[in-house]
Amino acid sequence: MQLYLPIAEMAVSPWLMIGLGMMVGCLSGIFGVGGGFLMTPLLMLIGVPAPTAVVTGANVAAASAMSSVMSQFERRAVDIRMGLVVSLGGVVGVGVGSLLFLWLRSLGAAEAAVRVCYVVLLGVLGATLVWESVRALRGAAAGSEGGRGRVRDDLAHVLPFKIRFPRSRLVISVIPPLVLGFAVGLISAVMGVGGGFLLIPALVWLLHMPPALVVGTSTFQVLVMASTTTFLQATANGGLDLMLSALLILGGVVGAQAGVALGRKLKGEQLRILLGLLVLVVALRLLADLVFTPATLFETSSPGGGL
Amino acid sequence: MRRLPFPALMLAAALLALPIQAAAQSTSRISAALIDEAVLVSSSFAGTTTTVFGALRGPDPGRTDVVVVVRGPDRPAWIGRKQQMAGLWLGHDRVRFEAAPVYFGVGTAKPLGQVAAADTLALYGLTAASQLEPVDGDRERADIDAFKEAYVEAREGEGLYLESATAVQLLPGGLFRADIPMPDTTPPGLYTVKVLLFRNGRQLESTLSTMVVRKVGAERALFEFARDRPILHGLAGLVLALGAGYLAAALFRRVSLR
Repeated sequence: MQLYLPIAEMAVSPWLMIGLGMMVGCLSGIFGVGGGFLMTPLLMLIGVPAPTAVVTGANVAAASAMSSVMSQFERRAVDIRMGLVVSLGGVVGVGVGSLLFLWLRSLGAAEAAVRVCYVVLLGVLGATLVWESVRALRGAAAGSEGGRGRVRDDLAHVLPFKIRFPRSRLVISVIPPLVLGFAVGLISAVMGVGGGFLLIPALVWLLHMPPALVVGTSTFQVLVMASTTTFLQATANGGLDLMLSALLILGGVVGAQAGVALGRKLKGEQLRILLGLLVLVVALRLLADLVFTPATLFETSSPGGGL
Repeated sequence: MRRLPFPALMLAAALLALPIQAAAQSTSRISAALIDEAVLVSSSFAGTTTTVFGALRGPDPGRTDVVVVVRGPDRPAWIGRKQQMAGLWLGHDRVRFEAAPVYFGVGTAKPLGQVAAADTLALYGLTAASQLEPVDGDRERADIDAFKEAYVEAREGEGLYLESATAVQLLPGGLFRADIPMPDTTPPGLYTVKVLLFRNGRQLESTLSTMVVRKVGAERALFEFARDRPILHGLAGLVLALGAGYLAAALFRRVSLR
């Protein structure tokens, strides 16, 4: 059975789309990422025009995040205040990032610079995630101090404008979370991915949030960012295909629930190793695209789609 | 697509062709008609076949070549060739087309190359490459033909451009039928269907009719919603996402509490 999509202007198998949504939603539930970095390329692979793939990816990320954040709320695993501060920085970051991207593109070498930076960033991040978490797990196994002691003398405690994050039991300056959110928003606008996988290690290592709150808080930030992106992109560029969204969302929200249940069975370090491996796989895939001679030398605009 | 019994089709073709024949008087050697003048794209649309029926008159219709061209509306397009910089595959060498047909199907009864010379075919717009219109800066490029060829090849891979030597069937009594397949990605719009007659590599006569591909029902409603009310459409996407997320979480909580 095939279903015709009114904006993408093509027919797809609804079961395949529901399955795809379920898979990406599951990842989103486990790790607290949006999953756009998987969803968008996969949609483009089956022939969905790029603008539709991007905005629909964001829409599905919002749905999956909503689904898992509700479950996280119940378990009091979300620091809403932290999430809001990071999202505030993030929304500004996305705005500045979009302008930056236009400027880079006018220079010409934008695509090249962005792609190389992206591979390096993902590679370093993935390797660090795996390495640090393996060390932490080994340390715990050896019986030494597993958990980090409370840090009191880092930048977050020194800078002014301190506010209290009761859920995280932190009293830190508002500047680092704002800057962090801004950076994640900026990168996601320039590189065209959500950036949830950047936020998780930053929340652990830079802000020293309790590991139990990291996934929930990151999911909350993804919810706010993905919702904003969906609305802004759909309004400004069009391209949102409600039929495609509905199918992916149907799978996504169910997958997210399964993901949250799975994620709860894993320790923080195990989670971060898996996330690190996932990021490394994506980095290697992108690296292969850069290094190996492509199978087809030509790329064309998408035949249909849009308004 | 539903198939009518053959005699009924012949009758339909003859009836449809009648006005054209009358208008062109007895000098005309060809009459042709489309079976469906509108292709309706509903939610179950998975491609279609455009069928043209017609009759040849005059002496020795067996030596006449029939070429059927179905051409979609023009849209801007581009093609890029990946480039290697410092050992890495980065960036494109891009050619833009002011206009390229979204669909271009040519059907014949024998390979197109045997119907007429390449120049003649290009002159009558029977090759896809001749239909691509590069923008001013790119038209003068020395390698423009390679880009055009690659573009046509890519579209052929998608089924949107095609050249079929088996699409036209010559039937006894100077009748012919052409079946041109169109994939699910066929964009909506106004299409033209041209039937040309060739003999010994020369064009004799042609007929032109139009066909519309349009979305109907839910497809049309959703498309118009997105086009006419972008803000509401964006909000609808948001409500759909958040509502579904909320509902799923509530449902799963109820299941797990039980």
